[in-house]
Amino acid sequence: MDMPADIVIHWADFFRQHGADLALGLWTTLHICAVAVSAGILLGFMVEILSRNHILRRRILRVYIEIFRGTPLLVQLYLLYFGGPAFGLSLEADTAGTVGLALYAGAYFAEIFRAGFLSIPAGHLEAAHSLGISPLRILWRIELPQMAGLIVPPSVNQIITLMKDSAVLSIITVTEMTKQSTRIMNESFIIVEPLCLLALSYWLLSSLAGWAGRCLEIRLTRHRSLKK
Amino acid sequence: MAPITVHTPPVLQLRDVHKHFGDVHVLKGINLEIFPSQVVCLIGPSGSGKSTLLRCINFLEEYDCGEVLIFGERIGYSTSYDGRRVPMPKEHIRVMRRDLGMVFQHFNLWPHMTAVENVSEAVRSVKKKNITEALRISRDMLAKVGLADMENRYPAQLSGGQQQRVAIARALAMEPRIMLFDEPTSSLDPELVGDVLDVMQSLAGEGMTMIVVTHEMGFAAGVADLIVFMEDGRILEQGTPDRIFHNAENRRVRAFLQSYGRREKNAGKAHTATNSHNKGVCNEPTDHHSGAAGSRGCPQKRTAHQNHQHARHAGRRYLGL
Ligand SMILES: Nc1ncnc2c1ncn2[C@@H]1O[C@H](COP(=O)(O)OP(=O)(O)O)[C@@H](O)[C@H]1O
Ligand SMILES: [Mg+2]
Repeated sequence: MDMPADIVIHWADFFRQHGADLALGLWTTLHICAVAVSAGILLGFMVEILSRNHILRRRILRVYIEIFRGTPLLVQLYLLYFGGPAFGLSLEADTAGTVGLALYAGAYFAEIFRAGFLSIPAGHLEAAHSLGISPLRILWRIELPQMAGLIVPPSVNQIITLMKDSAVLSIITVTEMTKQSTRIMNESFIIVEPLCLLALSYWLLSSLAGWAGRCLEIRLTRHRSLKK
Repeated sequence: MAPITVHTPPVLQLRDVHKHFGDVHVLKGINLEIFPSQVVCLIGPSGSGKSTLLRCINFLEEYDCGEVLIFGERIGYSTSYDGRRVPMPKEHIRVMRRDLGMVFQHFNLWPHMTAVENVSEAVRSVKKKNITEALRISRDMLAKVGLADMENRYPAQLSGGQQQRVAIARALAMEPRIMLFDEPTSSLDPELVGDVLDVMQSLAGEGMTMIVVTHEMGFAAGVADLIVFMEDGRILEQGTPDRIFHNAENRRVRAFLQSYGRREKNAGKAHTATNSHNKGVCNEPTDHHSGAAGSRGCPQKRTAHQNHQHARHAGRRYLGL
């Protein structure tokens, strides 16, 4: 009957030895993801705003979307981190990882925003124009709130995917969760514990994002489900 | 019919307006003059360009050539020193649009805003009223269209007729000088049509200049000062309801109205029944009808103002419906 005690002691030992490394990994993943996702959303939004009603800009920005959506994140990171210096651009691993992830995310978020803008009936905008409301105000008060409910689910999806994709940053030596776990494995030859913990961490982060997304979605679409 | 003499300048003038959609010639030289407080009903078969014409007036649609003048000022384009047509700055178009309220077939309320938010949005952002003032104006407007108790409902919680009346209130809150209606009752259940027509009729009674694209011939006959018949991008004939409905010169106009009369007669009974309950949306009689309105050649509407709700029934009887 001393099995549970053994397990507790075993995990306590594990955390004493590697807790700091794991915490650093978690922190790095969290802050890189937060920055990259925010920057990606902003980038995607700007790309879509700039390409509206402007054919030339749309064509140019389309190239950006096609490149970053059409090549693996790993290859993009290699190009940025290892290939960067060849173009006079030497970034630290963390910076390269964040920038790479943000550029990759931007391409996807641009598409999400495009779908959002397309979802708004032309008549709603015509009504606003016929009242003389300014384009900026229309964007802020009519388009964004109206498409918010629609773009939240795919955005949350995208954020979850990005969080999991951030594991790839380990390959360019960013000390995020996956990197820290593999390092512990290599140094201590403990395999199962760090991997289980790693999987659990990603799952918890994804679930948290999913839950927050659902709360937000319910708030934003309340006007649709109202009773007469 | 005695000729109508008008001494005031037109509020709206269209001169030889042409419009293409790609290769399709949709407006083929439209000439039209509309005077203060005039109610103009634009009728004609579907696809004849009525909506396009209305949308050219507030420049939701660009026109290829000709002029649309609003209170004498050309909307959308100006003429450069060498006579070329140059697009007007967007801000200027926005300013000109403030004189024009528009009501659409599909209401186009913003679904994420309540009724009062829909109405107050432009009052706040375009008229730059503070929020208290904007809400007060908006509530007044909702009361005017008979929806005082619905201000906190979202569009999804309102019937089609109520949504359309919110849309009318939203346009009226901007104090436009001309109202454009594009088939305001065409997507409503028949029993809701009457409420919306009542609001429009009381608006006409207050002296609002209105251009109404409609298939409600009873409304056109009872309320309009001028009927304009369009077909295939052209105005085939225009005149008083009396002339268009009973003495149209153009064979095609007569044919269209006859086919319409037959259809309406079949659906007529149920229709008039619903129109007969008055929702109390009519405000106290206002006397805006002196001056230009006096020369409008539609005396029965003015004298019968107190019971102008009944004008439409009169209109129907008059059409033999
Ligand atoms: N945005 C558009 N693009 C191309 N064709 C159009 C467009 N809007 C209208 N049309 C065409 O213009 C003609 C007139 O349309 P419309 O003004 O809507 O007629 P109405 O309102 O009298 O039914 C129709 O043949 C229609 O197909
Ligand atoms: Mg139409």
